[in-house]
Amino acid sequence: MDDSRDFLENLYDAHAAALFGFVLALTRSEADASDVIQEIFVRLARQPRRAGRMKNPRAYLMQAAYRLVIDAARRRGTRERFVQGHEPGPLFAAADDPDETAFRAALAEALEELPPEQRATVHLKLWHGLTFAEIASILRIPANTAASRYRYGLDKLRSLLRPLYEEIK
Amino acid sequence: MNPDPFESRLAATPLRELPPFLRTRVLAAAETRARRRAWFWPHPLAWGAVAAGWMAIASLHFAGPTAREASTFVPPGETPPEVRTESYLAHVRVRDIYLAGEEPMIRLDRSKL
Repeated sequence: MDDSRDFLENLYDAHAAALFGFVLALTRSEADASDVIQEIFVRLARQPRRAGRMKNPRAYLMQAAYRLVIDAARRRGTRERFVQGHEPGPLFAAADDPDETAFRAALAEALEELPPEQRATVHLKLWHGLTFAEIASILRIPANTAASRYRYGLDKLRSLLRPLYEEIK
Repeated sequence: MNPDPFESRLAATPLRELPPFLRTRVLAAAETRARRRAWFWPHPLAWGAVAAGWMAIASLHFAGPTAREASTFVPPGETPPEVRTESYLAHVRVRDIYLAGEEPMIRLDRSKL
């Protein structure tokens, strides 16, 4: 059991931050993001053999997180929005500069305007640097779909953030 | 394809950090689950013992008499059930004749006279 605990600790230290950012971008709720991460690790503890067979742990964890978020949204009966009537938590680190603070707040709001599928794609591309093939395998969609979702999402962000971006550039 | 300055600007925006309490909470929950699993999930040796037990039960089952054989088995010294039934029916026939007020007809085997 010590091996299993070490394995889970190493996995957490290596991937939990990325996982938290991804789930937080989808749910905008710190409580939901924490619950999703906990659920993933509890499932891994329940099935240590499956955990040991992971070829790409980051992709496996992201895929598991995405499925959990989608399933939770379906259970709630809301496919449009994942956020459920609570104040969204901060998505980005706090900044000292007021302009930067304003930009990060506007970026978080703009991301929330995107449909969940686009938001997931944009997040994985921009903040995790994944290829479209990797994103496609995580979201279980064709790579071309991932690329087009990213393009549409980025265009929308550009149009929403252009005035502020031009101002503080 | 190189990212444009806007993409680079977005990608450079740092995500917030993981809440520090989460590590303890998540790993504790996972460990509790792993312990429970270890407690309820039998050791391979236990599976072997269960399998051996079932094999012993199965071999005893097939080595003994079948259900039909067991039901028709007559211990030594006891009258077989079909003979007991025949005797009982003969007794009932004689009783019915007496109850009807008739003399029972005695069939004689003339060849033995």
